[in-house]
Amino acid sequence: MTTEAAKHAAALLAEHRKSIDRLDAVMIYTLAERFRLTQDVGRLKAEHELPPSDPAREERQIARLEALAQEADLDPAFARKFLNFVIAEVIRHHEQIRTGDA
Amino acid sequence: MTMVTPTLETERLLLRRPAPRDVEGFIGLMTSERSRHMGGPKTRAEAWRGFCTELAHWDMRGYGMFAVTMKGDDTCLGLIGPWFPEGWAEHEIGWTLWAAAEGRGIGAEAAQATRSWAYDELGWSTAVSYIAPENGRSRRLAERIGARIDPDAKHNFGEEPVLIYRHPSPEDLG
Repeated sequence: MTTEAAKHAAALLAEHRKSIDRLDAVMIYTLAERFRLTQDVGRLKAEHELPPSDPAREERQIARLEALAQEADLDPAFARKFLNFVIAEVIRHHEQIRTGDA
Repeated sequence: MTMVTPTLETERLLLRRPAPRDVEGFIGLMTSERSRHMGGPKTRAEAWRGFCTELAHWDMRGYGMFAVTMKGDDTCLGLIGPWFPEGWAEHEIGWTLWAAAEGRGIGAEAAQATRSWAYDELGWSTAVSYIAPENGRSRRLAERIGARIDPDAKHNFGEEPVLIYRHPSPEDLG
């Protein structure tokens, strides 16, 4: 590789990395916002004595995300696993709010 | 621990110790998409080994999941019952039904019978069921027979997302 080409590649890489860093920040803020919302939902459910989880809704959510992932060319199995993880965490929070552990 | 091989009877079902002849249904399930909530799909060879574990659990522990059959028809429709392999944090009531057996309340009927048996005969004071969050059908079964998510229960599945449903205790059931 010429010095010129190597310089160009390095500049491109640096640019991509900057974008990746910004996207990571978007992901973290998005997740934080999502959990903030689900905490509110958890308190609402606890106050009104609604069940802390809704298997049918969660099943639909996962199917929807899987379809979205397919459209977006993201591995659907990865999307499913990710949402499973988020949902398990949310349900745990809701149960803790309900039983007064949180 | 009891050494006799029990047969449990419910209104519609006969629950017996699984046998080698039950292997094909298990392989059918574990090699299909339906098994994705249970770590599948597996290859035929892996599923076969998995079934050997189901059989051997009875020798190793003195109990295991029961083969679920309709009265008058010995065909195994699924495996349901007490499950406690090495590495499990707590005693579990597990269930896997083949596709053909779904939607008739068979799972609930068998799970309740084996849960009572585990309480009465094995002396368990509590039991859980480990279920993937996405497995709505299985979660509804757990809820239908009175199990509730226990947010403080521990498991040994690492980062694997899993919900732990705790069953009513023997006292709760009266």
